[in-house]
Amino acid sequence: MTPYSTISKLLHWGLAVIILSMLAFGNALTNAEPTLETIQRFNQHKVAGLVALALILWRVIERLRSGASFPGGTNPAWDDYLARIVHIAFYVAMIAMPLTGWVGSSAAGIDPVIFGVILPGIVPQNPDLSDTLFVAHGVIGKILLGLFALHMIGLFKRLIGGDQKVIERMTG
Amino acid sequence: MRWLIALFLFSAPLAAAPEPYDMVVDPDAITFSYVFDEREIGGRFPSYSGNIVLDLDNVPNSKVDVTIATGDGTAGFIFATQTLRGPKVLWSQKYPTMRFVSTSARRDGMSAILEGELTIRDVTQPVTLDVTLFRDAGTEPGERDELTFFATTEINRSDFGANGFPNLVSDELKIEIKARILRQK
Repeated sequence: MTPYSTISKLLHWGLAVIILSMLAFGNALTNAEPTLETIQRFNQHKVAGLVALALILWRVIERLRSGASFPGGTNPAWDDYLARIVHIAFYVAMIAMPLTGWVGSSAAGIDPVIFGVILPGIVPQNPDLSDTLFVAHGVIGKILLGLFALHMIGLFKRLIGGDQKVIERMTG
Repeated sequence: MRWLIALFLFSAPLAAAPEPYDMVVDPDAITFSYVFDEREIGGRFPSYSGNIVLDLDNVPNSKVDVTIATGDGTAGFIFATQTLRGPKVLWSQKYPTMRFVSTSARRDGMSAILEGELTIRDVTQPVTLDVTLFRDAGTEPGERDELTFFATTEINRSDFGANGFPNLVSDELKIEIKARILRQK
């Protein structure tokens, strides 16, 4: 079994750190006292989300370009099928997460500010759309956490079953 | 710094009829302040146009009609400016202007009381402006061509539905207008 491409591996681990950090960051923001510092943190979250979106799109392109490395034959078919579903759901949720945040911010009229420059709005201001998208943003966050749990369960099930290759294709 | 003298201070009324004036557009003319996180912060509306008709001898004949562009407003710092223009406060994309139209005017000592209707977000509410007119120091008491129009008022933004972020931004706003006005030739 060939490992993933080097770029895919770097993006996988980098995004793992970024996504888990951003989930914690976002969760802290939803409970934060409304202060000037909180507003600045919200903007940092938005800018970091744009960086994450760029990396996620790069990862999708790299995945399409270099392909995936699927474990060979030791797992039952239903098990590999579940792994595929989790991976596809990850890609969908990873793209939807920053997009709902970005479009929601733009609909709220509070676009990301980078080095003092307000990014142009990407949708017309619409408070109802904004509220809906931020609810979705929170739900997708929980979905990402759930997918992360399934990802870990799948990993440990394979490791316990004696399948080291499943992790080596991402570490090797 | 321009030194100003209240118009009604020394001057005897002059022969007059209602006279139209143009408002000079100055980015610092229309300003407001609010309390954010226990600090007083200022903002301004640099784009506006106004029609002012003054009758200094018969103040009730005077009229003021000012339209202000909401999308150019600033609120002290960038995140507040975004919020000001956004849908939870002025919603400039949907309501690109706000407007004040006077309904009555009366002299009050050296000043005047200007009552009118302020429309923000298509919501119209009565407001009262305290207005003082000044001529520049060094001009003749009869100077009428170039004056300074100074007005203050206070409003509650929630009266107009501009009620976003009430935990962070005060409901009360102080508004100050200090505009040069030129008598139309």
